[in-house]
Amino acid sequence: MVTMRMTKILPLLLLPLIVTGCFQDEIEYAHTNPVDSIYDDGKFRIVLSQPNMAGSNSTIAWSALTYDGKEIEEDKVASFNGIELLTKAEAPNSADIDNVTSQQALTGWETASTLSEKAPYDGEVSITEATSQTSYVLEMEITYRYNEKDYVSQKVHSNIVTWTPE
Amino acid sequence: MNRIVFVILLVTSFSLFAQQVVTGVEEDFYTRKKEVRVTDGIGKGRSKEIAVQNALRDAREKALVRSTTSFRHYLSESKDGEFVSDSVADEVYAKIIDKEKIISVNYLGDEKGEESFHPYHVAVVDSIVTVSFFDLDFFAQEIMKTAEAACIRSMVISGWGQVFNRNYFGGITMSLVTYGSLGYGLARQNQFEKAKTDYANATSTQDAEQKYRIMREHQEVARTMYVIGAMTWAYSVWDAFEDRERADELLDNVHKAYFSKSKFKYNRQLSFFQKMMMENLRPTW
Repeated sequence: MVTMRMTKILPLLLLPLIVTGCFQDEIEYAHTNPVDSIYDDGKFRIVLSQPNMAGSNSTIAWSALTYDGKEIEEDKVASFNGIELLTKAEAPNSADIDNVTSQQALTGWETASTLSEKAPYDGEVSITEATSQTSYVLEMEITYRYNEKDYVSQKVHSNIVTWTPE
Repeated sequence: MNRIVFVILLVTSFSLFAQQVVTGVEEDFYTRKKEVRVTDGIGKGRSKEIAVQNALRDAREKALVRSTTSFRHYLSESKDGEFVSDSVADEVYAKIIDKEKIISVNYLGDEKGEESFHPYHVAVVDSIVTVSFFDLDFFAQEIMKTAEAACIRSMVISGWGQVFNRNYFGGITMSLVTYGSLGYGLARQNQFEKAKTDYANATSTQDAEQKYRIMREHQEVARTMYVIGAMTWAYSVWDAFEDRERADELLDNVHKAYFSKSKFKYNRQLSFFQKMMMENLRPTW
């Protein structure tokens, strides 16, 4: 009789534990280092891939811009100044990383391309084949309505990609 | 993979705790073994052998009475508010469970037996008698305990309620699992803080990715450990209550076994909290 009762109670005890255990892997942590292959600039994320250096066909591509895990929707974009691909012929220094993490404009970087695309802003652009170590980053300024009435306005950066010739 | 192992371990451990089945009176739990030395077992008989056997029988009876076996009731009777009579009743809850060991036998009286004027031999036996007796003190102590008391103890310290219920293995195990998990979780949480700093200071993509994985692993292990610790603690609180209830059922059985024909009245009353838990909050599936 006692065993039966305990057997009935066991699922009650185990259920929350199993449920919690199943969701353990689903917890996402913010990627807060711009040199990581993924960088979360606040709740924005745009992932810049390693450049594909192939002579005259050298390209660099990036993913769609997301906010809080959801793709940006065009009708919720209040203002957007276009995407700038910035380059620098060396690895990023601590000042660059500080500027990115504090959502400030990068200084000392050259603007390789300026693109004005529609949301969700994923794309690809041709680049000049680099012969020495080169860093790339996307920079843009956006005002976005993330719910019915609230807006977020910030300078958004992608992760910084550093390409080193082999 | 880790998750599967974790769930299997958890189910196994909880099943182990759940397999404590009460099937009847746990005699060993409420009885005690005691060796009683009786130096004055006296018996007489027409032969020495009969005298010794009678002396041993006397020794056994004395051993039963001399072990802590008797429970005395003071009984008073009144009629129409007037005191009528009083008496003391003895109830003995003990039995001999092993053959007595004879230390020495002495004979009194005439050694010549039937040939003499006295036809009887008298033997005095010094012996050790093994007695199993119902531990009334222990029983009385146990029936004073409540489920709430066990529950509160487990709330304060995981496993304390089980120890209170004399489930030492369960109590110590739950305590070790709870504090082991929480302690290990805390240690991994501290490592997480360091890994977080390492990740923030990483200067290359490869390094950053590796540090991110380490940071995340520390955090996930810490969370899992906290969950295990918290759940075990919660289970300890619940089990303390359940265990007390099991003990109460046992006490009922013990009472039936020992006191069903006794004048010793024992009516276990459920507390308000127990009633509420058992009648309203217990799952019914």
